[in-house]
Order: sequence, then structure tokens, then C-alpha cells
Amino acid sequence: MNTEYEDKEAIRRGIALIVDESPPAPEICDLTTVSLKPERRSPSRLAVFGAAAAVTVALVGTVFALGSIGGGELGAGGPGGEFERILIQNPDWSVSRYDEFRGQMDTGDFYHHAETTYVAAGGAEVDLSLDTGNQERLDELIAGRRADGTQLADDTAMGAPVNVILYESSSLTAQPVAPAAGAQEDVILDEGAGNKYSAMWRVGNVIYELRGYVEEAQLRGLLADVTEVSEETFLEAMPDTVPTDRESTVDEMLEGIPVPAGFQVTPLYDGDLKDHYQLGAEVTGAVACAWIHQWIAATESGDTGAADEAVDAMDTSRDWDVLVDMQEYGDWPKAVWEYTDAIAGDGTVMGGRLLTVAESVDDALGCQTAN
Amino acid sequence: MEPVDEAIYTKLKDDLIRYATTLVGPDEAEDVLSSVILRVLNRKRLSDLEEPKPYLFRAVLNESRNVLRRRRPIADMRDAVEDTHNHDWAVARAIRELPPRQRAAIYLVYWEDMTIVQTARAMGARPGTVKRYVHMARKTLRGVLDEHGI
Repeated sequence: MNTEYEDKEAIRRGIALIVDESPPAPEICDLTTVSLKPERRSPSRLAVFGAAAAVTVALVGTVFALGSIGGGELGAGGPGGEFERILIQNPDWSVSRYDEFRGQMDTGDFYHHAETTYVAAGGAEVDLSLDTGNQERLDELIAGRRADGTQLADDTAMGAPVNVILYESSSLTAQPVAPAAGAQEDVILDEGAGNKYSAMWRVGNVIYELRGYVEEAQLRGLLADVTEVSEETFLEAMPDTVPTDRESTVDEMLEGIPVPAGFQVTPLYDGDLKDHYQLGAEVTGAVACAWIHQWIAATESGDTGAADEAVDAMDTSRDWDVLVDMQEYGDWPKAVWEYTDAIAGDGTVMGGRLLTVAESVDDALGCQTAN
Repeated sequence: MEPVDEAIYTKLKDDLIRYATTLVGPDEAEDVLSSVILRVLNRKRLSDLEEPKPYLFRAVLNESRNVLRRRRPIADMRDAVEDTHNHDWAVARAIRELPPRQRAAIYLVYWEDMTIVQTARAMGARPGTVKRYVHMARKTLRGVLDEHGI
């Protein structure tokens, strides 16, 4: 029986073979030259197949993204429960992003995940993740990180022992590139540089990981600042991009959006805290899924009136304020509009192959994914 | 190109070309990346992007999907040089045959070491959906690993 870590290693070796075939990226001078001739799709090919580019990316573990909760435990951090509110209380760091979501896999396994990104004045970032899991799960995760990295001295956080690992080190400079004169100074250039540390610990049935490209002393200092706080303190620490009054934000997002008969808005009021973009995706996804499912059912039953109603309703989606605003931050609106066009057209979308709306919409828009 | 834009591109280009190669194969990866960068530069400076990396990863995914729409089937890359008895190549082949979004998700999570939320931002998807993509991809690849006794 293979461990999850062994699976990941096998898959990474497969990815390594693929990226090993990568041609050199186009040089800046080529791009600049071509940019004067926009009709030309690309510069002359630089790559020689078989001359594989060296794979320099460290093969690192992905800890929380893949696993089930481990041991079937639910409890406080489980799908029906809540995580304790945890903050890094350090005046030099502030929360720049927060997202929390939960759901259930087709295997029946539940997951519950929260992720807080902190940013320091100099631009450094760390992520603090919370996932449901037992000791067995934590041991497995630590083993995975340890196989990729260097075990360092243990530490403590929240009264629990913390396993600290240096698991990625880059030869790239850790210093942000100085901006050109007159350019804005907050360009993030240090991503992927420096040393990447992971610190993992468990309290109850919640596994914590603090990771980021920082100095070891900095990481250890932050561990000492991880604190359980009140709901009020936690919400006050959230950036403006995370709406803390979910109900009124959902109502605002739904203004002017047609919803099908029987659409239930109440479940949208009760979801997890997340940033405006992800909440927008959840709200518009719920509406789009409802309309598209109406279209699917109506098409199958030959109810052209209901099908046309769904098409007309979704046709307004390009004017939904929330989707229009979200375009700047990601491609969720395009995903919705792809299905808008599909139901108004031949009922198909192109994935890796031609897919019907009925077979693909739940996956693409997360129609059956909690949060 | 402005110096700061050059610095951003230089910093990210290797990550982007690997991502494009994973999505469309080595033959068209360079075209994908060139098209993306030129299109972005025609509209704005890279330094004007709030988060250049996820933005450009999203753009590469979108352009790759355009390429894949024009080219089917997708599993025609580098087959000639593969050693079909090599387990790692079997996994590589299976990764190439995943639906593009699953392939993107598993690459970003496994190779780029992005969290689910970071991956969601880089794909323009919801975190729960990304979780499902990764889960489905792993399930498929687990089947390949089983076939090869790995």
C-alpha cells in the first residue's frame, strides 16, 4: 500500500519529465521586437527538442491541499464545526487575504480548510493554513516535508510542539528588484526566492502550517505570535477585501440578478468567511448553477419556455455588477459566460474535448461543491 | 519594455514556460507564452498588475485552452521519444491526458507548491472546485500507478 507521499513523488516525477521538455522562455529582446509587429504570433523558435531545460524547481511537498481529514474525525474543525479564530498578532505583519472553504469528496471524505496570508512591510508573505486532521495525518504530512527538506529544531506555538523544516531553497536573489524610477514600489518580485520554511503543529483535530519565504528567525518569531483570538478581534484584522458582514454582502451582490423560482438565498448567508472575489464566485455560481440546471432539465423534458427563461436570465449575466467587478481579479466571470454562451448556443463547451453543458457544468462551476 | 517589466518577466518566465509546456506540450509552449506576454503588454505594464504571477498563470491557462481547442486530440506530444516501459513516462502521459483544468490544478499544486486558494486564484476558479480537480486528477493517476504496480 503506497503512502500519499509516495503517490505524490511518482506524480512529481511525471511532471518533471514534462517540464524537462520545456523550451527556453522567449527572451525579452524577442518579445520587444515582436511587440512592434503584433500580427506575428511568436518569435522564431528558440528551442531544440531534446535539449531539455534543466529542472531547477525543487520538488516540494504539497501538504494540505490533497488529503482527506484523516481518521474520519470531525469535531470542531470538521464540516459542521468551526475553526478557532487564530491570528498572528505582530505589528509588522497584517492580513492581506483570508479564505475558508469546506466540502465533501466523492469518496465521502470531508475537508475543511482555512488560509490566511500575512504580508510584512517589506513585501514578504507567509501563509497560515488550518485543516482538519488527526496525529496520523500530521505525521504523514511532516514525513512528506521532511523527505524534501531539512529538519530543524522544534519550536512551540499555541502550547503545542512545532515541527520546523526548511524544504525549499532558491538560488535566486531574495531581494526585491528595485523598481524603475517613477514605478510603483509595491511590485512583488521576491516570490519564489530565498528559503522556504514550513512549520506544522496540531491542536485538537486541527493541523496548522505556517509557511513562506522568510528567514528562520523571522518564522520562529511569528510562531510565538500565533494566538487564538475572539471573533471580534479576528474580524477587525481582516482586510477590506474580506467582507465581514456576509449577509448584507450577499444581498448586495444579488441586486439586479434574476434568480429562478424557488431559489434559496438563505444558505448563502451561512457560508464561511472569504474574500470578496471568492464570495462573488460562490453567489454567482449558485445563481448560474440554478439557471443552468433549469435549462438542462427543461431541455431534456422539452419545456422550451423554461429553457428560454434560463437562457434569457443568463444572458443578463454579462451585466451583473459583481461579475463585471470580478473580471479584474480573475477569470471566474469568463467561466460563467462560457456556459451562458453554451446554453444559448449548441449546448457544448470545449474542455480538453467537446463537452456537453450537462456533463461538465457541475465540475466547472462547482455546482455541487460546498463553499 | 520598461526595466521593471523586464525584471518581472525575467523572474517569472521559466515558471511560465514550464506551465505552458505542461498544458500544451513543448512544441507550442513558446508560442503560448509569447502570445500571452505580448497581449498583456499591448494593454498594460506588468508592473501595473497587482499580482503578476497569478495573473500571468491565468493568462497562460486561457491561451493554452485556446490552443487546445484548435488541436485535438491533445495527447500527441513527444510520444516518439517515450520509453513506454518507464513508469514515470506512463505517469507523464497520463498527466498530459488529463482534462486541461485538472492538469493545470495538479501542476500548480504539486509542482508550483501553490496552496488550494493560490491555485484557485491562478486558475480563476473556486477553491472547492480546485480541490475537486486535484482529487479527480489524483484518482486518475492513482489508477495508472496501480496498473504499473507503483
